[in-house]
Amino acid sequence: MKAEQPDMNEMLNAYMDGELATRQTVEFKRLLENSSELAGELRALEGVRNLVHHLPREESPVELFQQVRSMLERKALFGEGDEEGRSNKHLGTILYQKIRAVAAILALGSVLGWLVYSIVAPVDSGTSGLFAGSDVSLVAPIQGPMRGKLELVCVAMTSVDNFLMRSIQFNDLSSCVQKEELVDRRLYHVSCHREDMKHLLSDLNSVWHQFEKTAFYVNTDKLGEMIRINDASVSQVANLINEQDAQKRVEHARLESVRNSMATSLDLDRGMASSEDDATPSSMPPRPMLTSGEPNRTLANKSPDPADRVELTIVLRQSSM
Amino acid sequence: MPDQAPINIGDAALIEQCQRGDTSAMERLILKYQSRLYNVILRICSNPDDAAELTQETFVKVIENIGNFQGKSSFYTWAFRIAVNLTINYCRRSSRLGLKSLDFDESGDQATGALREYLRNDKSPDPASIAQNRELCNLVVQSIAKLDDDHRTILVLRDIEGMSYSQIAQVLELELGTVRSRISRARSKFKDILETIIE
Repeated sequence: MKAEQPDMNEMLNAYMDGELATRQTVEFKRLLENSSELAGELRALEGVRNLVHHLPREESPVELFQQVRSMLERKALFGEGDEEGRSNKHLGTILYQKIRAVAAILALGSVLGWLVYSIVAPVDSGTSGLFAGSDVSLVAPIQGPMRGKLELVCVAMTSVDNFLMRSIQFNDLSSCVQKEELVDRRLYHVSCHREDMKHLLSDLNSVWHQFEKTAFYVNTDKLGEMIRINDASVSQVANLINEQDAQKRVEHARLESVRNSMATSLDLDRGMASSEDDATPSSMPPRPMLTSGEPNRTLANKSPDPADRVELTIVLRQSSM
Repeated sequence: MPDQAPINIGDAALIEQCQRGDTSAMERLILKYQSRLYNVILRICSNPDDAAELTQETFVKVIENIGNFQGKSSFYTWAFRIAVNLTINYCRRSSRLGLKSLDFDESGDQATGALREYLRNDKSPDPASIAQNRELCNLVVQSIAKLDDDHRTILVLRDIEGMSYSQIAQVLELELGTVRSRISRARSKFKDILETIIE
């Protein structure tokens, strides 16, 4: 049987894609068994489909989120329309050039202002000055639990990943963690009680030396504003998570950010920059749960207050080395 | 079946958090979908820089409109509808402005030979190993780019993103029957283009 009838080609494709109804599938299978020509056409079609299906996937641009945030800021400030902007690239009218020149001057002013601001109070470059100094607000401010992100870069991503998974299990946190695996990174979206987070951090402390880079981001109450603390130590992270007062936490984070930035610019040892001395017994449990082998005994006495909850995204990234 | 079934677990919670203004949820949503959206856009528009910009624009539109998203359709198809509409509009505009070249690059004889062997041989080599042949992949990518916008889009959604026919129907706002016939025609035309190369 030759697959030249218009419907037969569609049937062949739908069969290959598993899109035929059960009855149709059975009938079509019978048809294929009785027609070597049709079976050959199916194989050829599968070959063509597989060529497309097996094309290697390209890496998406890094820092896409930051770029999206910048684009939202630009649109909010200049009313820049995406499609219009794209078309205007090709118009080249004098009026457009003048508007662009004015916009460029304004943008330059904003960047300079941002630079000055970031020196005074270095917060995450994605949103700092622009959102902080204006009334630009796209959605409601963030309230409730402490939210943040912890970025960890290391060479042995797989072994640290395994360690972290064991720690999550030992600390009874499996139900509080959503994990995503990407090619070069692992994401752990942890939503748990402050006390549980301390146990996890305590375990992480024993592998902290393996991290080439660390950065801790603390969300503020302004949309999109995050304070970034480069080269954060585990004690700094624990202290900030332990701070219940959101305002104090933000102030504390700003101080830690400045402290670490200054230490980096003065080329000091990271240990000096970190506030190890400030790590009070209340912020860090005495022994890591996983490595000590002790079961987690603190689970029963937890306050249900939402302010005692922590939502932390841990990004474990493979070093490019 | 393609091995890239959409993952919808947790989307509802993430969207709710985004609607409350949680930027970390927005970041998670972007991280979750950026690679898939970027690859679909890239294969439709065929230019990495444009694809990066269009991916950004897609997420900007998603975030701007997430407050209006009521969950009547799935987030997955909603986001892809935005991406595909932006990309197709851009392609049509570029085509009108003559920015898009439809000529094939110089492809090596080796790549053409590998393609010929793949298409003519009944016992085709492992497609995964074929995909490691960079020149051959370029040839396939250029062949996809030769398809018209509608056929290219539907081929990419089905064979690269791995969408079901009903998901494609939602993304492109087409009847299921139209999706079925368009996929069939797109593959036939794609095969014709490949045959032209190896002749």
